[in-house]
Amino acid sequence: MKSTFTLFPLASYKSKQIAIGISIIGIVLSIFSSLGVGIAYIDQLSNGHSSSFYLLVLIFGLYMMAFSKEKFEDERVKQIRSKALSVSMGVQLAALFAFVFTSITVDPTLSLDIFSMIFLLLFALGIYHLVFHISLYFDPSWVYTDESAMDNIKKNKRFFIIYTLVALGTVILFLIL
Amino acid sequence: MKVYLKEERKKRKISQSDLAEAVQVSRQTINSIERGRYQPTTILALKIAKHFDLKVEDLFELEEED
Repeated sequence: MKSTFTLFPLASYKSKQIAIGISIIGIVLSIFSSLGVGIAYIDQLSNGHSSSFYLLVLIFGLYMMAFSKEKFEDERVKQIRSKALSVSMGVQLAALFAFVFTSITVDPTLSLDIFSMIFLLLFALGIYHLVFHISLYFDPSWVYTDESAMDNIKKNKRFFIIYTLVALGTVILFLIL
Repeated sequence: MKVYLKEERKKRKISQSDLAEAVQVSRQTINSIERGRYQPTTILALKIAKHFDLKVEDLFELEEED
């Protein structure tokens, strides 16, 4: 049964290629910014928050990538995408919950500044892309089932180690940037 | 679920890529089905069976734990 209406349709594969380019530009500009090399116009436009602006470029690229089709968008890719989105959303909501809980119980004056919001956005998109692309290319069995987390880890130790190492590497890279 | 897709494919000397193109999915999807990782939808299973001129039950068999 085909449906003709989609609330949030995926962009074409060409959009993904453009998005990869935008993401790379964002990463390169962020690295240069952290080394003290910037663009004067962007410094002016962003009221001195040029490093945040460059990270926003990266976030936009990653966001566009997340909602673009793969070269061959078949039912397996759709299932992997659905799983990656649900994992990413779960992690993101847990992080926000933890923040709000800490704010209520420890320091009610705690608020989300630009850097925290950028970190949360990058974190959610990073988790999505990590789960999506590793699942797409390494094809772990857990992405197609609803087994418990412990059963998944026991059956897929190799992928669990890969995910953990890549996630740690991403966090370290972000801290360096 | 037991999958007999690889055996039937090799009997007919068809590559994963050729089968993937015939049923309009990626080669990785065919590979994933053959390894028993991904369970195809009814439509895809029917398409594959039709391509081999077999019944779906000849390619996919339910196991007790399913």
